[in-house]
Amino acid sequence: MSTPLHPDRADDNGLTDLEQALGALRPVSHIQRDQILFLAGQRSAAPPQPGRFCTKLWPALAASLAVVVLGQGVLLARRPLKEIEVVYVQVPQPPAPAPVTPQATALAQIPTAAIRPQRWLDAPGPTATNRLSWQLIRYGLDALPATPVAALAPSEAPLTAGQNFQNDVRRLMNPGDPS
Amino acid sequence: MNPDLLGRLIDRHAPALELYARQWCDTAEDVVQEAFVKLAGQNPAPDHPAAWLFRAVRNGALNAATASRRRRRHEAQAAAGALAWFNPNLSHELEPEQAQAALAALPMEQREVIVAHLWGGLTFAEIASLVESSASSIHRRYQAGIHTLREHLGVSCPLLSTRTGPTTTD
Repeated sequence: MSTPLHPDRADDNGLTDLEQALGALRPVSHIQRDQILFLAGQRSAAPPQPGRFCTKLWPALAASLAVVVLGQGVLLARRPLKEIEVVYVQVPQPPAPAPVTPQATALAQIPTAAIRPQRWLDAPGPTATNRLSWQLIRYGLDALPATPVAALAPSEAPLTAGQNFQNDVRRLMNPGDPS
Repeated sequence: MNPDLLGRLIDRHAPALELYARQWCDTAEDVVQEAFVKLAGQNPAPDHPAAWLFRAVRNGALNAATASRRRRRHEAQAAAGALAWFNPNLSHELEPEQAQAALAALPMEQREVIVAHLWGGLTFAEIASLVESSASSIHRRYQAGIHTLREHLGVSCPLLSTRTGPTTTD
């Protein structure tokens, strides 16, 4: 290795002296030593920067997703519309009805009239007594009003004793009327 | 890197690196500062810090020169040569201004080798690795540059026979 001012190929042309003269010149330096040391320490204390892969991962992922979304949008816009097609399907006839079970037979043998309530229970009678009886039989004791007056129709005034007597007489005179 | 070692490298190489970077760009201080900061962050430290610094400064200066040329196209400001390269307040056998002018007149490939060898202390092999050339080619460039400098400076041979001694480098 040759030093700058003592080259091992020194010759008689005076180049060594010229080199020495040039080397004696001191380059002007504006470098601030303390600032470099400060910056070096600051950068060494800073957290490590994410790698190139990490810095480009999210933009690349976002770009790829954007491409996918655009592609799907184009496909959706250019998707051919399908016409509604009516298809008639022959449904096979259901097999013959299964034989009636004994329980169903028993239920079928019950006469309808036996399970049907009495006719006079379908609607209350014309009088207040009839309505009260109908209400009592149909809904039980809990359905009774607090007072007999409450069972009356709003537009019907309570019967007086004379009116009750006339009704009883009319009933006795016409035994065929419903009671 | 050890701060003491970094400080010694700054003291030893910063002026030469700044002169080396100034061959290409005007922002030599920033380039050299960034090179030292990068060197401090190297783990492990390079085997030859001086050669590593010169390579980093060369790359940074070339990049800065590209940006500077782009900027100058708009600003029309030629700042090359505006700054003094050598310290004028020291007694020299050569005038710093003349040396700067003669050095600036050299082709870039010769100037680069001379600066790296004379002031940077790099060997020809290290310079060859730096500029990706052969050592013999670098040696020829150096000799040609010195010869041109001698002609520009009007130095006869033998030169400066009354000098007190060689300038030592750390």
